[in-house]
Amino acid sequence: MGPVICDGMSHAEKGFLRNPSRKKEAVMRWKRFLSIVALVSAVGLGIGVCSMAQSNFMVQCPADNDGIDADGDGDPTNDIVCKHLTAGDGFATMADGTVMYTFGFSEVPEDVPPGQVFALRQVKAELPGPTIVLREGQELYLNLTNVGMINRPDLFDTHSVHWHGIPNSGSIFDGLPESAPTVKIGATFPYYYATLGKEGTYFYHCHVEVTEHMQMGMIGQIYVLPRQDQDMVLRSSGNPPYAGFAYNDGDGSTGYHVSKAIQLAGFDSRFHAQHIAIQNLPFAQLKDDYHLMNGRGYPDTINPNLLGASPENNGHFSQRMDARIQARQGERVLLRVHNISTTHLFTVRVLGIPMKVVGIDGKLLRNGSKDLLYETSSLTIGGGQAADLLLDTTGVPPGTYFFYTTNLSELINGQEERGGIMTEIVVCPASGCGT
Amino acid sequence: MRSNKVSILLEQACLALGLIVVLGGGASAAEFSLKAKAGSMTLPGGETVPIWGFALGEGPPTVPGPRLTVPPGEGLTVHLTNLLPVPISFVIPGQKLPDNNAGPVWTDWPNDTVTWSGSRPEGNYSARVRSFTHEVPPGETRTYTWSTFEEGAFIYQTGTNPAAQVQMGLYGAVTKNFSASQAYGHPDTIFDKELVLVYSALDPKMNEAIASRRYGPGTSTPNTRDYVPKYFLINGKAWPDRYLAKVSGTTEIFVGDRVLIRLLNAGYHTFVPVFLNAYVTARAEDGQLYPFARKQYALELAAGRSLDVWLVPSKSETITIYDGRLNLTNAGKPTPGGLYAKIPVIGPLTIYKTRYSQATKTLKVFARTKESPGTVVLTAVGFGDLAYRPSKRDYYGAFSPVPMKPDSVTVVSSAGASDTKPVPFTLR
Amino acid sequence: MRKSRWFGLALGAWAMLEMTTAAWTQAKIIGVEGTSFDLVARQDRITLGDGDSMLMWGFALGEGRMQYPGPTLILRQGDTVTVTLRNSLPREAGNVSIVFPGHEVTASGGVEGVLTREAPPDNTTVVTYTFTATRPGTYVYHSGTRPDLQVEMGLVGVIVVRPANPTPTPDCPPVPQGHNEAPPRSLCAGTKFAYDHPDTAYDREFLILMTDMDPRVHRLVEFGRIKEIDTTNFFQTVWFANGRNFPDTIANAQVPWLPTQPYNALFLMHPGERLLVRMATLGRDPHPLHFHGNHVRVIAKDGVLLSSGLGAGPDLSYERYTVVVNPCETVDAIYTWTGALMGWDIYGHAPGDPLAPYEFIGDHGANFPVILPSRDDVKFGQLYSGSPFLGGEGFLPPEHAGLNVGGGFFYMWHSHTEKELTNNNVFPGGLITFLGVVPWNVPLESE
Repeated sequence: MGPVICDGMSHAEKGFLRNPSRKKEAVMRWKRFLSIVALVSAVGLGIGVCSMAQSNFMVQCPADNDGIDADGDGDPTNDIVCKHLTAGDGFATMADGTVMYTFGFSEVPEDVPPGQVFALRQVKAELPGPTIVLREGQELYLNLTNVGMINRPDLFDTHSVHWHGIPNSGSIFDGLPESAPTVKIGATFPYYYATLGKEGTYFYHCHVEVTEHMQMGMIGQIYVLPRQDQDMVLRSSGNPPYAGFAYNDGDGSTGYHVSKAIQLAGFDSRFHAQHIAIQNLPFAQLKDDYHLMNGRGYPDTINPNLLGASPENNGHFSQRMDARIQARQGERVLLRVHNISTTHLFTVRVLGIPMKVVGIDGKLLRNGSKDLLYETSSLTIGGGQAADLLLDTTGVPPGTYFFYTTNLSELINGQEERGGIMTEIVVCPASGCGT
Repeated sequence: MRSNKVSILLEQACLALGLIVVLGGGASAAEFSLKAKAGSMTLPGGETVPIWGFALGEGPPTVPGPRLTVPPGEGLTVHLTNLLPVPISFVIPGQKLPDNNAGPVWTDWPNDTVTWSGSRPEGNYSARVRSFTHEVPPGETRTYTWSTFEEGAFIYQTGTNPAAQVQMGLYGAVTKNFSASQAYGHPDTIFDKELVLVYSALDPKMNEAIASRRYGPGTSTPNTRDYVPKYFLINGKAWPDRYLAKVSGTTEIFVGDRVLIRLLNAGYHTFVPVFLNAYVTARAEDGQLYPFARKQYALELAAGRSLDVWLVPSKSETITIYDGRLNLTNAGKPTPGGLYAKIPVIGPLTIYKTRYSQATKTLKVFARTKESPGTVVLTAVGFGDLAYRPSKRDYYGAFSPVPMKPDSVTVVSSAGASDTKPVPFTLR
Repeated sequence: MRKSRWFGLALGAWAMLEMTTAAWTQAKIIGVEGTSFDLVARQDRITLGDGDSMLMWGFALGEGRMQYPGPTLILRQGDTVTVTLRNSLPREAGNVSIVFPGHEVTASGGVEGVLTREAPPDNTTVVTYTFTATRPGTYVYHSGTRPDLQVEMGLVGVIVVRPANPTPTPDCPPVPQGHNEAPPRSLCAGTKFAYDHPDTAYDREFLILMTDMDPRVHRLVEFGRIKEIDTTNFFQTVWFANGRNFPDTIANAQVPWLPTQPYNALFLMHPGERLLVRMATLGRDPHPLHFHGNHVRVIAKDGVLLSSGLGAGPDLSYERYTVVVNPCETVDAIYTWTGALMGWDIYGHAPGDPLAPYEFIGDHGANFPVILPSRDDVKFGQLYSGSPFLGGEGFLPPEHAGLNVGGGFFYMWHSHTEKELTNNNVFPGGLITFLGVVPWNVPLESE
């Protein structure tokens, strides 16, 4: 019998089946679902199956029993990270109270049965989407289920995940609707990423109808902690010892005590209003009037509570991340900042605390022996760019400092002034915060 | 240390004149008394617009405000008097906050009736910051001190409701050098001439709204969302204002001078100064030296940024800078305007003007040279010597009778330089 | 969501005709070589990605039609170059001129303007610009007369200066650590150099000039209402890569239905090759150019190597996944791709299969990590081969046009200010183009 060509079976499946004695002895844990049973038994028998192989809510997540400690943290069983995300719609609440229709990602909790993923995960879009943090050496299996846009039932858009900036990527997991498959409503796509050599700051977003889907909020944060975090000698070279490093710098120069990821984005209120009203979308007039840090405009950026639970959103908190930063005097703060706005570039500044750029676009600012790290009070970040900023609070008097955009006209939330891209950095006395 | 009485008198006198006072004892600090006032500004093309700006002493406010220079090794003290109807404050991005910072100041926006200073009130997540440092209430004076001040070029500006107040004109440049002829401790930062160019922009309708208190919550201009600048300025002037050439802090620029050009952007959008027929060496940003210098002809002058670049002119041609983002008009008029900058470069000897009068049969020759006065003799070949004019810092000769207009005139200096220029025809 | 109907139709029609031809892509930039160029400023029209027609002012080489962008002038380091300019624009357009940032230019003829000598719209006066191409690199040229209007109208172009040394060699790219060897030399494009240093070596070359446009300005010019133009009100709604909007960016160069837009922006390369990416922007806004597939290594800006000193080469180079190019700025970068460290064999090899050229040995034979969903569960991209493997093919549904070339991986290179990916309110469009990485058994032009 020649190669099995039938529904759902591609080269991929054949490759997967061909070599069961691969280095990682994969024992797949399937989420039970009626029509998958046939597939599972067929796989076990080593023959192709030509039934309706439904991937609908199938989460592919192998167990890590290869005995290898890939991320160097001492535990050989935790090198595979599984994420089950949904792509759908929801609502977010701006700092001026305006409720805006959004698209977005959310995470499926472990206890949601496969048959309920679709129903229970609708109108759960988060802004930003769930943050994914990986240790260098881990592998990420990211399963994306398209739960549809229940507030726009006329739309049948597929969705995808594009891990922005991952080096040496392949098309199949790149999330580009032009050059890869993207997942339809009611189905799940399995993305896979290896992280060796890829430490640094990235982000992810949907790339289907990218102008629209990104403007609507399908954005999330992802970063890879460097292998050097496991180096306890280098960690204790800091005073106090570092919590981690931004990159494998070899000398501790990117060591930090506090870290915060900050995503700059924006909404054009007219675009979102037209969307929920099922009108033509005004692409040509796009100009964000609500500028956001981690999905919020000032002063919501400093609000530690979950936000976004509007009646439109069925009381679900869509904005679960703030942009507050707090450190003790003498500590080093790492800000992983990236810009995902569809209309604006931003120049950002920390007023009163020296700001050192140590990495850009997931790479340490060093070329061989040449150190390119530099200090500035104004960093311009275009859409699609990320920067790692190290703030040294040594000798900085306790108080409140501001991280904001020097494009001062953008400190707005719609019609409100004194909003937008601004957050507060509280430097506590060296003895501690919480006094 | 002088006696108290004398020192107080001196201080008062100096404050009144807005001069630098060096305090005796301990660390020195440059001290300035700035006043924030309302005024007006005539824009290129004649339109006048209300502005808020700084002034040293009793004169009218300027946009940008007065250039402040902190002497090498010193700190800075600023006494700020607020003659505006709204609170203001003072910050210098790139420097630490002032040593005596008693801010920030939050308010219960939009009412702005309650204020909190120093830290955000516990559990209050709706208060919005109004000022980054302590405020100067209208009519009062407050002090901001830096006992240590970083070298470099910086924008000083209001730190209160910055989106509204900075565009009104409440900004200026403050610089501190390592020595009289070196910008930073690094030997590559030596300079012969220093040129400060403060870029900014202006949206007249915003200025009108803010000055007439029709800005903010509940008004027709609630925020800066519709900010669209119409005028683009360098040191408060736009092309074709000739006085742009007379930029603060410099005398003539000669061929071979190591010119430190300090570009600062007090506007809200990035400008891209492009140097024509020349490359500059960029060495510092926001008062911080780059790890490596870089040669480039286009600069990313982002909002709020300062760039220190070096240029050594090799020819007695004009340094020409234009904005790569094409903000090259005054309020949209079709004639050249906006962000063109032309800075003349004088050769070791340059004839900068010649005039011939048919009526009086007189030839006038005007020249400059980089040699110190009294060390050279300049001679117009075939006519005679030129004489030094201290008031104009130039060399001038009027020769008569000259029966026919010469096509050109050559001037030679006893130092060996020479220049030749054509003689235009004039009726007078 | 309001996807352009044109996308499927245009992409299918044009690309089917052009892209499936083997050996169709060039290894170097299309332009004109020489030391003497006679340019004429002319009015004409271009076609936008949504089919609309736009009035333009552009540079023509000699007596032909103008082109957008103007002709790419390819010079050799050390040459003395003369560019003459005559103004054949309508009277209302006023004078025209050319400035060449990065070069020391002597101008003569015509009348004195703010930036340089200008040619009045009399179709007779000739202005001459002379300079020596002292340094290799990428440069721009544009009108220096009322640039806020004339750059908008299209009077823009690019200059490429090739280094005197080192001279090109017919070598294959070097093999990176941990990768399989190079193919036979005859298959390789040959090593060229961007600057006077061996670390600026590349195999293929790609130029992208990014520009923007506010159609209201062009319509006012078209209807004789130039006086009403206020360029402080600019609001760009159309974006170009090499003078075209997507999807025209990935049609072939010099196609007859785009007579005034001769350049395209689609590129193909093999794994392991070094692609020199020359980037420039002219217009009102900076553009953050984002590269899917891998980082680029920026080696030069404004025609100057990022170098710590003479002879050190680009030792201050840095990697970026997005490069912001400000108007008038130029950036040169090198892009490579091998698929290293992806954790699975990108060719779908079994462990015993022979290695492909420049294949990352560490992933050889490693299984594909997941089972892809059923065909009913996904929508396939037009540039998807049907297989996740490089060089693979697979089933494609009946409605699929099948535009993939050689089982290649296609990466979108685009502005990451996403509103710029539209043509006057229609998505997709604007500043989008593609890079395709095709396996070595798909021949590409070499030289």
